[in-house]
Amino acid sequence: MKLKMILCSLICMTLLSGCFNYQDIDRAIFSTAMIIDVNEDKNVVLYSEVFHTYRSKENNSETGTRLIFSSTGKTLFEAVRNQNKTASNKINFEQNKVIIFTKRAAEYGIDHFIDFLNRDQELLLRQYILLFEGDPKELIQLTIKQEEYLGLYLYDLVRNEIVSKFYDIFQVYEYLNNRYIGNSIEVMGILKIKEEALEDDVSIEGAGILKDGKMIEKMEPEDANIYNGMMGQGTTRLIILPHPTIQGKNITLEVLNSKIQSSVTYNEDKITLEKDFKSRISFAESEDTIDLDSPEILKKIKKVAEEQTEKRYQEFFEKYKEKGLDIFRIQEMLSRKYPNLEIKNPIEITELKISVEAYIEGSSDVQELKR
Amino acid sequence: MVNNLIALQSIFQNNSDFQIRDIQTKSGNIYLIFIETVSDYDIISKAIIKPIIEQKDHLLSIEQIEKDVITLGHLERISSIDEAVNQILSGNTVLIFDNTEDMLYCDTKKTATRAIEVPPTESVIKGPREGLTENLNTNLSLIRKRLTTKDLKCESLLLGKEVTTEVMILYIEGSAPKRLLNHVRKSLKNIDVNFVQQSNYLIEQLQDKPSAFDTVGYTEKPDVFASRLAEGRVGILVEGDPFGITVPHFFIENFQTPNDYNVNKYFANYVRMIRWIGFIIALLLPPIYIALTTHHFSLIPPLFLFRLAIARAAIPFPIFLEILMMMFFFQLLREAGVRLPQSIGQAISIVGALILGDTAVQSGLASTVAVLLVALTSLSAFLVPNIFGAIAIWTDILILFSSLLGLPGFFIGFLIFLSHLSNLTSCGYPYLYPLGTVNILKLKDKIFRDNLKAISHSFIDEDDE
Repeated sequence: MKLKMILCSLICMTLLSGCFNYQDIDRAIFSTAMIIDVNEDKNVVLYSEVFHTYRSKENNSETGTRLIFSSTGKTLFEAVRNQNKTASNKINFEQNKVIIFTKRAAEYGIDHFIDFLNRDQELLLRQYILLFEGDPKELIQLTIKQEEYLGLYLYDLVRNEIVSKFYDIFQVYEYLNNRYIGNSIEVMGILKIKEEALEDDVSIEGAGILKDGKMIEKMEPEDANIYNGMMGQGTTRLIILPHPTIQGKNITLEVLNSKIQSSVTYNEDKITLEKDFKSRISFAESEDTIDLDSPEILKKIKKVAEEQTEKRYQEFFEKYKEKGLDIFRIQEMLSRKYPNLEIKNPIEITELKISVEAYIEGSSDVQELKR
Repeated sequence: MVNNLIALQSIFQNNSDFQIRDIQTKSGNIYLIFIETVSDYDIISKAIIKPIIEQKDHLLSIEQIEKDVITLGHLERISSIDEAVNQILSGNTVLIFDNTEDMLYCDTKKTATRAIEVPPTESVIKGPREGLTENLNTNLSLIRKRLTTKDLKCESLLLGKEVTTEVMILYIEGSAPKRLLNHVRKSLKNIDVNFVQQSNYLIEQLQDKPSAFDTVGYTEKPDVFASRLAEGRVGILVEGDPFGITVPHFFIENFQTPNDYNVNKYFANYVRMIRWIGFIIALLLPPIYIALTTHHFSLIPPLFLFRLAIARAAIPFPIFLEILMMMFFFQLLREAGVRLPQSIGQAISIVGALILGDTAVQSGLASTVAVLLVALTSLSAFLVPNIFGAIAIWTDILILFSSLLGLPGFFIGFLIFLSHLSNLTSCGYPYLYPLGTVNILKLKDKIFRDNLKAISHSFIDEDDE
């Protein structure tokens, strides 16, 4: 038995020797966010926000501080290596929460960098990917009062219930999967520094459309909201309608969640994309008094909400049909249903059939038990 | 015979407490031989010397003295010198007669013993407080008091080659499996030691395999001993030792205390759950902490990771060394607390807890997290005192594996631990019984206890016999 145990331990230690990477927690510098940019020479410019511990001589106590590293390299791997050349301990990416591509890097093509993000053992596949429009130096040096670390702030932001319902934020593994499915068009959230804010702040405003890993177009925030509503990714949406009885006043409805059934049919060189929406809508606000007990008023609101939703979705679809951008994953649905059918850009011959059914709930209905 | 007398005088020469009392009778001299420090002089005077002196003018044969003169309940005839020596050493008085080679020994033992006290290692909040003592007969009476059944059997054995010690095997006939009984008898008869000073000689003899876990049970409480006998186990009492041994002993019994059966069953089960959690914390927390903080940073929430890193920023040692060092400090404290008298021991504990931990942090030898971890681990280990030593050893082994290979190493170490546990047996029964065994068991007191009337009174499966 003893011999078996010793042999077993020795075999494991020999076979798993690659795992021997003992490193004390305080002997590492932890990256929380990476910003990837490219310069005019198409070299990678990498900015890393890191957490570093040290013993302060000022107050004779242990402390941690936020540092920013920047480096350039011909490839992302070289840029990371160059960053480590100036670090007192090795930069560890296991706590990296967000990878941000600048608009310039996204236009150059994020597929140039994705292999390293996938291959490196420290970089986890559950990191979030965001695009950024603006100066990366300004972003990394931003002082956000809600959270000292940009990476941790963005990590919380994308998991915020409201934000996550409005936008679909990709994680690395999702992007790696999706780029091999359908026509490899992705819609990714764009981060922007809020200029009108009283204090430094960032928010996700709109989205970028990427084809084959390259950003080809920007989608405005309103369109991004409609897109997410149509694709079932963002279930929260506001519908602002004119007051049914008082002119010049508005009412606001909040789409709590939508059940979407999508199907695609191919018939004689024509594709029909059918989308059935069943939305649970809460009455959120009225600018003037409204009688919600009146069945006629409720019926009217329901009708207008359904018509407006249908119209907006239809217009949005037509807009991208004209551009020939299959952001609705028609190719993917078609390939699943008709594996042998080969159509180059199916959105060009696709008609959208929408049916919207709204269930309006009163604002007094219990939606959360904490209230 | 005078020859016997000369032989005994020669054997016991240079022993100041060796006594020979010579009484002249009409039939010849009678020599009373005894050791005054272990024999009851009062009994010798009243029950042997006085009756013989009263009858000294009559012609008395050895049979008459045995039957009609000596008023003691227990006396026997012996013929060999070796037997006489053993009896004298046991505190009995040997009578040598002028006219015959036969000798008589009379039970005149006087043993210094302490009173029945509350057992210090197994105190209870509610329930019987009597504890076993160093006197075998007292212990037997305490057990017989609880098991008034004709089926309670006690077999006496004399063990030890140079110095013999009386050992008693106790069991309930019909309840204790014969296979178990034979195993115990055989093991004890095969013991190859010069003397049996304490029960641990027998515990080591009964251990099937070498392990830090005790596969032989022991208790200081006669009620626990009696209840284990009632379950069909075999018990062993050793003269001069206040601990009764019971076999077989299972792993889950380390989590059961006498108190469990004397308090509300829901509370008893709640406390048992805490003991299990304590065991898991004590065994696994340090190696998991080391694996995470040296190999798998991604598994720690970021803010907690930052705090851990800051807490360790000025510590010059690697984490595994820091933890092992703090655990060693704790073992020093524990050992000091145990060895010193109770009043000083408490003071040492306070010094250790308050000063050593605090100064270790301030001097930069250990981080606050390490102190917390070791304190929590040690506290948890105290919840299962019977396997405290085994936990300490196995935690160190797991720490070594975790330090070398991170979580894969931890799992390898943990699997070795589980294999070791499942490989252990107690007198032929699996140590993990009834956990991890396929046998249908009568034992209904596993992790949680049921109502006392529902708990089976036998641990052995019906098909086991």
